[in-house]
Amino acid sequence: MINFAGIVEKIDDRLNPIIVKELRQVVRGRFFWGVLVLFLGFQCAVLSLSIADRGMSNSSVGADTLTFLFAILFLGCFTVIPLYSGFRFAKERGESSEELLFITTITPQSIIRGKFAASMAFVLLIFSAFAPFMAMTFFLSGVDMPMMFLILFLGLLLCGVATILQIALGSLARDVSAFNLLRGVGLFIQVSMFFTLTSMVSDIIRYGASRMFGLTNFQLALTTTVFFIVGAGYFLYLAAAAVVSPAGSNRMYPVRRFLTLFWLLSFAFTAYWAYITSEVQIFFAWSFISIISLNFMLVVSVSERDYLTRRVAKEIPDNFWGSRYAFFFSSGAANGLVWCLALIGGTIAAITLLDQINASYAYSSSTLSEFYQFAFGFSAYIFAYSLIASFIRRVFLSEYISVRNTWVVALIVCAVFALLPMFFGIFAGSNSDVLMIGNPFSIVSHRSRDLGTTFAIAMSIVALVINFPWLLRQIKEFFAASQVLSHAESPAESLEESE
Amino acid sequence: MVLKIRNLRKHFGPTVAVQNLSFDICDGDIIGFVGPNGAGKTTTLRILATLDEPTCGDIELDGNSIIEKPEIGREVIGFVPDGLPVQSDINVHEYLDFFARAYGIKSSRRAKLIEDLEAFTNLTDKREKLLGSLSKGMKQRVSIARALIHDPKFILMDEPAAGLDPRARIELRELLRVLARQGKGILISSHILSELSEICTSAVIIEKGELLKFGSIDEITTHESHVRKLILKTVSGLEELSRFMILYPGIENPVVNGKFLEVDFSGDDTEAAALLKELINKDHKIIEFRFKQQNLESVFMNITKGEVQ
Repeated sequence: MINFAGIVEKIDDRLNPIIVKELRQVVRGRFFWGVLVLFLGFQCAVLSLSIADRGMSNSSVGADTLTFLFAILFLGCFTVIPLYSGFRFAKERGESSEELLFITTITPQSIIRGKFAASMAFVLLIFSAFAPFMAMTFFLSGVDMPMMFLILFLGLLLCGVATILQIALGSLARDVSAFNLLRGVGLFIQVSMFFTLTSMVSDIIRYGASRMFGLTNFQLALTTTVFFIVGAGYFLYLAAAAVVSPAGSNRMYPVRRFLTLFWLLSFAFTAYWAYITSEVQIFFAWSFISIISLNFMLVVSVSERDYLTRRVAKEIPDNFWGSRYAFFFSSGAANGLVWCLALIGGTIAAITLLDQINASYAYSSSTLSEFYQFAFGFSAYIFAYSLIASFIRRVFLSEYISVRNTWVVALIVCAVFALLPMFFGIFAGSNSDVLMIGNPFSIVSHRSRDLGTTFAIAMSIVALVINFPWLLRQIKEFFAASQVLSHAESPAESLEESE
Repeated sequence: MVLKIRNLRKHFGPTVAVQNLSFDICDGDIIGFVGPNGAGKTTTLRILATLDEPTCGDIELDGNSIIEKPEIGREVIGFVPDGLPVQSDINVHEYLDFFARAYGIKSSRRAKLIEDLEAFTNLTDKREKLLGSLSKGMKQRVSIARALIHDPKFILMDEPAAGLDPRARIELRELLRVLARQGKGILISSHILSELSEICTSAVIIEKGELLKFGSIDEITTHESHVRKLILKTVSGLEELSRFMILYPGIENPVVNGKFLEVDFSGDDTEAAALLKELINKDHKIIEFRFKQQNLESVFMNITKGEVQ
């Protein structure tokens, strides 16, 4: 005889505590029931009106009804539930109420997984509540059943990404101002994406999925879309877990490892696309996105702590290659900078190698030259401004600005370098290209590209020189970790920052 | 079991929050953790609770560093932070159940454990109440129940009596005594020093992150000051005794206080014994001869300056 009680007990023991708590809390609140009843009411009303309209309207009444139902579904699952999940998490972060969990056996990853799973449970519930109504539209006209399931599948994935995005934004809220700012950003992203999504769904329902994915490589296009959606979602999950991880932990290790893997896999996907379509331009799209993303990570890197914690130190393998591998991925400003530069270099090398290896992949020399100027120039700008910001914060503002807010200083530095010459030009009555020299986007313009790249490289050298002792100290500290551990003390200059 | 805090130091940028703090917490101890605002008490407690990492120094438990292996510390340490539980839409039982799950306690043990804890902290009849509807005292009980859920050997409490009414404070005090009798080592930070003196076996006094005093309450209050207040009672007349005392070496400021004479005595115990013998030899008919016990409050005021980092 099957011991059901035992099975239930085992399942209960394996359940993520956060899911249990979140479900209990949300079910108790009026919000959830209100949303569910309201949306079900909407569906009933929409379907009744559509059926009543069927006799006198055109053949697309089913498609129109389905579009409307999808719009309501995504309003709830893509906008309201993710925003609500992010809001709840941001509120908890502001109250530091999740912090006590770190002295239990629960991990930051479990916290994020639990929050995500609890939200997705409601998304699935609402999806399942909508499914019968959607299926009924098939009996109206103009609805393709497989396409409807495809939209539901992709919609579910997008709702997942939206939820984890809002949770990730919520994880950043540590005070009232950050809470308000991030909620505003979250609301803007979600609402604007909702309208984009609704418009795309409407297009797919009316004109078929091939309109978006094409006919010739439909499965591959779909696989690529799913790959990027899932990849983005997983990155956001790791990023949120890194943000909520306790101070001193090796929080960036899983993020950098995943991004490296994702970078490699996305390159493989790109190469496969280029192979079957004989289109080399797709590599430029990949490299452009990679360079922009890695430069974003450069700014994140200088906002990381600049000393070795004992929890990171004890994870460093004592063999030569192991410690090099650990350095590349571990938390730390210098580690992050080296990782970003290596991947930026890897992106440039990949494009160069493809050009060299196969004549069929050869680009025009002007295209390649433009790519090099963009990749080197833009990266040099961001590298220089990030390091200058780190120097300014460390030397002049350490009492006022914590290391985690170095990215704000970097933005200010960038704005000052970009705008100050322009203001000077306005007062001096000059309209020279030289005035655009501090603007990282000047490299997009043909006229100021060369000058901008030269300026950015010069600034990078200056930034590297003034930050060299700081970077060298971190690198030495990392590789001498065993000695640091035995002395149980970090170097005096590596004063710990509030995290 | 002893939790050994060794040369703990914590920097926040250029600010030194804790410097070279060393003391021990033994099982059964109730240690008062005393210091002005900004002295580094909360920072120290957070490091002990493994929520923060020190800049240097260590916390040892049976030869293991809980800085390097925080999971060892988390098994034996319960932490009651200064903030009360904030989740308003969850009831007491669910809140404790959540933390029991978070500590990985199996469902076969969980229900009974939570029931016992609710009974121990007098929360049984409040178990279905939402946290948002509880008083501060009740929330503090919930917080303590949560900290006890994995049966820790050491409990760290950050200002647990803050904002509690007198009744809740007395109940909290009794709860702490019971926990100490169960063999749990308790480190409790509080501003209410009179209460700490009543329940604590030892005290740690810090200022600007530095250790000023660590020892039993008796040691601290008795030996803190070089000059001690001596109280005498006689049946032969206080005026006569006062005139004698003012001429005696090491005695200052004789003050008649009701039926007693209070003087500042700067000698040690041997000199006090010699004084008593002299008084008896001079036929002063002494019926009471004792040192006034200093309380933690006066010691605290004497040795701290109220400075922050």
